[in-house]
Amino acid sequence: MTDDRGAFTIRVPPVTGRLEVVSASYITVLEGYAQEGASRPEAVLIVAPEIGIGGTVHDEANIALPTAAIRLLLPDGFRGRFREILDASSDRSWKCECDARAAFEMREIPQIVGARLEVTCAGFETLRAAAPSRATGPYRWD
Amino acid sequence: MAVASPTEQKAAGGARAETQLSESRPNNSAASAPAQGTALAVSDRLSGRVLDCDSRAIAGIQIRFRLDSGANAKDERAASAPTTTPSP
Repeated sequence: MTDDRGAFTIRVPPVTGRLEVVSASYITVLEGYAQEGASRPEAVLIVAPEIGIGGTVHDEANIALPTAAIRLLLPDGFRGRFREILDASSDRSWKCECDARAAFEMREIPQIVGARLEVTCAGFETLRAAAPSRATGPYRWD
Repeated sequence: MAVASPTEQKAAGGARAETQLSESRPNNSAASAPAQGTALAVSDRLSGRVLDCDSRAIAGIQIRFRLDSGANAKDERAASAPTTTPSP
């Protein structure tokens, strides 16, 4: 359990592993990385409110694209926001694929200002657009 | 290509597509999952901090250690409700 400064100490086995938060409200964005046999610097975990999003993907002719894939991208220079040393922190990524109706759902993603959604589909240009947040919506990208 | 009609649906269930967690590893690290049967009798203490995206400390949140091998994921702590406090 973290204290008022967000600090924690945890007993872990001497093997390679990762640290993440367990929370109903927050999701881990940068997780702690502990390598077996190496010195273990302070782990800095970055978290964000957890949200879920969903939608559909179609082309300009409004034809559904069930083979599209969606990925959440952290903001450019995200690590540069922090003064802390993040050598023992590693990125997570979030992605999903559309179903047969071209619908997608990402139930557990971080709400981060500046994050983007990247939509890829064979034969189409990659689309990158601002990721939705709980504070705004509904959404449509053309 | 366009993405239309997304809806925010935290904790909604039922769709086929699901969020997948992929992990990136620091460049200088090699996979080193323990061999089968490795005893985990010895423990280390690991310290750190939890911050939000605005560098504010997050107090009262539980931390879990997960073995690098997904199949052997190991919870070290249970969940708890978090609160947010400003960094000193």
